[in-house]
Amino acid sequence: MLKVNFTIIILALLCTSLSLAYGQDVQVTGFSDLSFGTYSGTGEVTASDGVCVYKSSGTSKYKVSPTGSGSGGSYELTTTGGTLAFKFEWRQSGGAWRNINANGSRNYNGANSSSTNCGGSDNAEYQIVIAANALDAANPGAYSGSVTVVIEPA
Amino acid sequence: MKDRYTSLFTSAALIATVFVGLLLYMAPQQAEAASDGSLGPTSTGSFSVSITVPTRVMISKMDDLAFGTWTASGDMAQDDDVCVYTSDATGRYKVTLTGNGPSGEFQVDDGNSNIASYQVWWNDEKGTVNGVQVSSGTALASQTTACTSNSSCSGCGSNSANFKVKFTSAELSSAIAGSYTGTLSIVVEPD
Repeated sequence: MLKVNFTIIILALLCTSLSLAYGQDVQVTGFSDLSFGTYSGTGEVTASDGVCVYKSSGTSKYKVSPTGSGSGGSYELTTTGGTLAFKFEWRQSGGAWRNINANGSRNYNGANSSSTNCGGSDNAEYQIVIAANALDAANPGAYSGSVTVVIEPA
Repeated sequence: MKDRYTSLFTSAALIATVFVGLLLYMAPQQAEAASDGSLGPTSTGSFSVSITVPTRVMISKMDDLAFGTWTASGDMAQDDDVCVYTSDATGRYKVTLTGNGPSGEFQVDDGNSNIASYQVWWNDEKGTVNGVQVSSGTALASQTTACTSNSSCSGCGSNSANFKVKFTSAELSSAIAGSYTGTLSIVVEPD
């Protein structure tokens, strides 16, 4: 009887999980690589791009969880013998840029629920900021890295 | 009973598959190019970031050199310690010094087409010992002792190089009396 009940509980949990996942699907599209070219030698540098965040049902609220390719998921670009730290920021359309720490997360509003491509327009943006003092202290070289962004319902 | 065990095993295997799949799905990835997320309970996209940081150099702490009035005897020379910084960890750089003569000659003039020429030395360290006489507009390469810790040369003895300007007595003896001025330009570049 105990094993039977255990089976039922597991199946119930699985069904519940599948039901929740089916109920609120999300999709993020439109990411582009950000290349700063060659640093001019003055000031901080920023680059941004727009994306579409779709959410199938419920409120427009969603959670953004970015991770860098640096050690421990940190935001770091690397070259031979050097690293270069940067910041990651996200904003919903019409909103202010908000920093998200590496391995952290923030909630935003404004997900599109009509079409997975947001009707061909963007409803959120992401931005990379590299501080002047970090660039000043950086060894010469070609730096590269990546950011992985997980979107989920919130 | 066998069916129940089979059912239990099947359910557990399915959960494990979903769980492992979810872990793989959420694992950070080293993206080579931007990628969009797919439709699901979570959606993961990624993009790359790249920037090239060139070698940066900077010269600072330059001072004007005012020689005053020649006493009609001997050479006149002055020098100035300056800060040369490079982000190249080797401290290597090249320097080009140019005067403001018609073709960059090292010379001063009195505003009436009268000139007096001077000589210039560059030293890859503070002070004038080991200075090398330079030709106008000709790069002096393989200088290797620029400050690499910071652009203000703090931690590098405040300065890291020196230039010297000299008027020979012969040049001054032949100069027309007057007040002469000129400009010496120093360009530092990565080497």
